[in-house]
Amino acid sequence: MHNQTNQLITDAIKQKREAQQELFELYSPKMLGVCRQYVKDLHHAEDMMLSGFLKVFTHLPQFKNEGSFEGWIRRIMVNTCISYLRKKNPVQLSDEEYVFDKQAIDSLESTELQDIQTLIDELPTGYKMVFNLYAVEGYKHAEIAKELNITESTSKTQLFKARKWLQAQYIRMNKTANGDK
Amino acid sequence: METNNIDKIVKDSLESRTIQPSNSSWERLSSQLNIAQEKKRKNWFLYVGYAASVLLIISVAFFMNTDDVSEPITPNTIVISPIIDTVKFVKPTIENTVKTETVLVKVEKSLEKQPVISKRGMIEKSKKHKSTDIKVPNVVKENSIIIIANHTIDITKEIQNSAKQNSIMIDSNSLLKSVDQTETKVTETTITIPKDKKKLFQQSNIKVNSDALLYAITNPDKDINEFYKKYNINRNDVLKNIQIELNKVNLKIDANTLLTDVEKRIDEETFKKSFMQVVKGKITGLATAIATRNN
Repeated sequence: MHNQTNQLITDAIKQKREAQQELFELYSPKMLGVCRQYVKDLHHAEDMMLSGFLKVFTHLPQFKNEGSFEGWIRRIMVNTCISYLRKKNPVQLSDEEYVFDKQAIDSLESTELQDIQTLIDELPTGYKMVFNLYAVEGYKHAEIAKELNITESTSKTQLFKARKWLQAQYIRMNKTANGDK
Repeated sequence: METNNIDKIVKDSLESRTIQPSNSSWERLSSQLNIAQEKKRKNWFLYVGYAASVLLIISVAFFMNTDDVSEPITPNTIVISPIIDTVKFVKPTIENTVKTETVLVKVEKSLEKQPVISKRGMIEKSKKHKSTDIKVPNVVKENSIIIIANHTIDITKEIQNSAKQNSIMIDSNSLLKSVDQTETKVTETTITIPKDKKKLFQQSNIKVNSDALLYAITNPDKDINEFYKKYNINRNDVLKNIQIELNKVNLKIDANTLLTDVEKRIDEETFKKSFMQVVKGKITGLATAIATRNN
């Protein structure tokens, strides 16, 4: 499998379309899931994914086999999404308290994966980026601060508030699912 | 604890999640890749074009500059040209720059084959010495051209050098003697030739140093000067009389030259008796000779 991936990478560097297509089909479902974490709309998420893959194939000669190829692609996808979000909505990454929309919370779906995604989607952009980068991608606060151009303390505060809110909503969602009122 | 749980729940749920993209996603990506490649190719051609034009400009500038061949500047070298005193500076004459080495060897040849005979056909020993005292030192003959140089040169050395160069084994002393004799003879010959007979010189290819000739002509010997003083004769008056006589016979000969010629042959007795008679006789002889030659 590993050798096959390496061969595909080598051929993709040589601009062989078949190899590029194979790599795309191999990694695109996972990468669309990554993009979906950050972008609420699936079509926009797919655009982000395609934009990320374009970067992957054009910068493929720079891949040095030092880490996993999947990790390298994933990082490109995350960066692409963050850039998109920051351009679209200049993120207010202040320490101010965010007032959650109560109606949005009420519209949470029951299925666990979809529920969690819905909870993430309801997070403000700043909270969502910090939480995803920390909890899902495994970034450190220093890295998040550098990536989002904020201070480490802001990153910590944002993460704390996002966690607290998600925790409260997750408990509430479970109680609703169990029929407790 | 609960906080960490929510992180774990979210991570487990979303990390391995897959969403199947739409069917047209690859085609869209493929078209984007084609556009990107085209752009890259265009950029490559653009860069190559820029590089080629820059190279062309540089090469043109280089070749334009190479036309101006500038001498390399040697730093810290001060060239001081010798100061030429324009007042005392004497322009080197042809006589001074004659190759004496080759010339002297040819003199030897001419001596062996054609002995030099003065116009008068007689040489007096005392005159020989006097003529060398006058310091008309180097008599040079090259291709039948006679040159009297101004400067004294060590003739012995010159003869030896020329003999070495031409691989001729000659005793330099004996050659020097013969050259000395030739010098005297030639000097006398040149003296007897009138100064204004330049055409004659040109015809016979004889070149005479004007300074040496003038010196020889205008300066009578010491003995003659003594005779002039002794018998109270003014030389200028004699010259005037000669000129008058020459005009009478319609001869265009320099009076000074004629007088000097006569002076060289005359002795005290002749001087005592009839100096002017001798001069007149000389003039008559010359007129007759010229008339005979013309006939």
